[in-house]
Amino acid sequence: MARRALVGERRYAFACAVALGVAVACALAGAPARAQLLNLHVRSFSMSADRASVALGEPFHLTISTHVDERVLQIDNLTLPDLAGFDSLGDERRCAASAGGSDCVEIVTLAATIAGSRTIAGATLDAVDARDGKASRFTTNSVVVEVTGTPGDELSGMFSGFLFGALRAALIGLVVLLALGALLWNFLRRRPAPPTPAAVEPASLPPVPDSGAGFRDLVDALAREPTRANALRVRHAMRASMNARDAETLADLRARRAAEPATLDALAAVERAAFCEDARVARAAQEAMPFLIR
Amino acid sequence: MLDALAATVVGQRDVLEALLYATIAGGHVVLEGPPGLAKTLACRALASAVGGTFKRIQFTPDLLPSDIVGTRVFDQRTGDFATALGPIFANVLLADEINRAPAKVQSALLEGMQERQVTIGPATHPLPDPFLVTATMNPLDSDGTYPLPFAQMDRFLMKILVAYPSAEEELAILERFGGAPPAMLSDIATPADLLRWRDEARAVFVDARIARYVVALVQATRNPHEYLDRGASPRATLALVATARARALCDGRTFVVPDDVRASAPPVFRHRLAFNYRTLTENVDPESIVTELIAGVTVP
Repeated sequence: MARRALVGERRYAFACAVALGVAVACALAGAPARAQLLNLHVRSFSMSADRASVALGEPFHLTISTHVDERVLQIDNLTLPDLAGFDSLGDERRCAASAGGSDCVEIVTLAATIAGSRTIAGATLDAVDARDGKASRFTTNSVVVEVTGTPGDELSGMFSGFLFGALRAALIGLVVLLALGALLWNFLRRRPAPPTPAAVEPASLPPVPDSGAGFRDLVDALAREPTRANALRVRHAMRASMNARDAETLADLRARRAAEPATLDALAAVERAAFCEDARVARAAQEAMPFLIR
Repeated sequence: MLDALAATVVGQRDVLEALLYATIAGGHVVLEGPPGLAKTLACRALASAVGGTFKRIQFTPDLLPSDIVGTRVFDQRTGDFATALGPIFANVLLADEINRAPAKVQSALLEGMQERQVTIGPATHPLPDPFLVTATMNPLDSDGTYPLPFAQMDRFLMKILVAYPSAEEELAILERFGGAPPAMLSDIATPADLLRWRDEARAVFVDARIARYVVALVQATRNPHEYLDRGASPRATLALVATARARALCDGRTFVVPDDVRASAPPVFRHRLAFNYRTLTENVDPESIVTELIAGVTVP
């Protein structure tokens, strides 16, 4: 029995602790919401429109003025009224210190989209009333605005609103497209060009004079002027006479016995003159002459 | 020099010539061929003929980078760390069966092959000059081998394929190696000779037309090709000229002719081209592709 009583006491203590914890949690959760409310002496809280009568789509300003005794930088928990039938074109808030407190103004720029007499309900401000320390909701006066225009005008307003929206979307789309195009162009410009096939020209050869100029003339020219160009001409003519293919070297010609060994030796001698150092070209050409004359 | 090599190795004239050209050009060579074709013997003969220091590393799967480049060991007497240089510090290094070691060990050779220096701990040690790596590979047993990465293959000046000897050569092998192995000819040249030959090779004249021929050959490997994924690098261009110069020097010339370039191109290109899967699926010989590429370029 005693043991049962002990267990019962423990359960009771546990239940109490849980209840206390929940209560504390609830209190802590509620505290921030209460702490967000400003402690204010609200002297005036009003709303006005700068125009009593506006045309459809015509902008006008709705001003919400607050005067409080405290010095504040901004007023929180100010809720705008329901602005159905109006397009909000802009919103501006400012607070300024004034004699005996602060003057805060919120100016909303609106454009009516529906014609007729439009009543804008009052704005609200949630704050702790400093006079009694209780959380209160202050409400401004409502404002009546006469929106002139026919149903056609209304449709026109709706159409102009639609047109404005479409135009804005088109402009945003255009800007995005331009930005994407610029990025793409920049990417393509920086991208390295794909490797192109070998652009190296085949080793150039001096032209062989073929207008009546025979092999003997070329050899004579080499004898008179032992230059690399003349040696290359003679070599070219000799290779042509052996039906050498473009990719065939002297070793290939020897391998397939493209000519008599003496002729191939002459070609080797001319090749030496064609590819040796500049200073030795003349001597190599002279050394090749006995092979060529033979 | 070539005769000294030929006194040891029967046949394989092309292999011995290529080894000599690479030695003179100051490049490294990799020899690939089935077992028993005297790859290692050719490298040893070259090392013996050149003189200088020779080291051999048998590449195995459990080899470590420090087994090649060296490591720092604690000296109890001095109470300080001392650097124990590895076998890479030699004039001629034989990396036998190089593809038997994993990539990290193969990579240990990279710095030495290209920069001619090795970094052990905080210190960088220059390698002896001349420094020549001769590596051997066996293409048959793919199990337990690690293909060399392209970055490393590109550092070899040439890849020499070793083929089976002819019947006459095989008879000569039987006569020469049937009894006691003949002594290798040693100290035919000195490392100083090698350096002098290398300088002479660098002075060999290359005409502008020859240079353009070299570039055209390398560019030809980079053209879109049905069996190629990638062509040769600019290092191949330099390697081709260096090999052609060495070849011209060995031929007693002070200038390069088109044949020097043409003959040097296959061993310079074959390990630098990335052949695609079609060469395997269609059983195309990569060597025929190299030959075809070279044959498509106009000789100056």
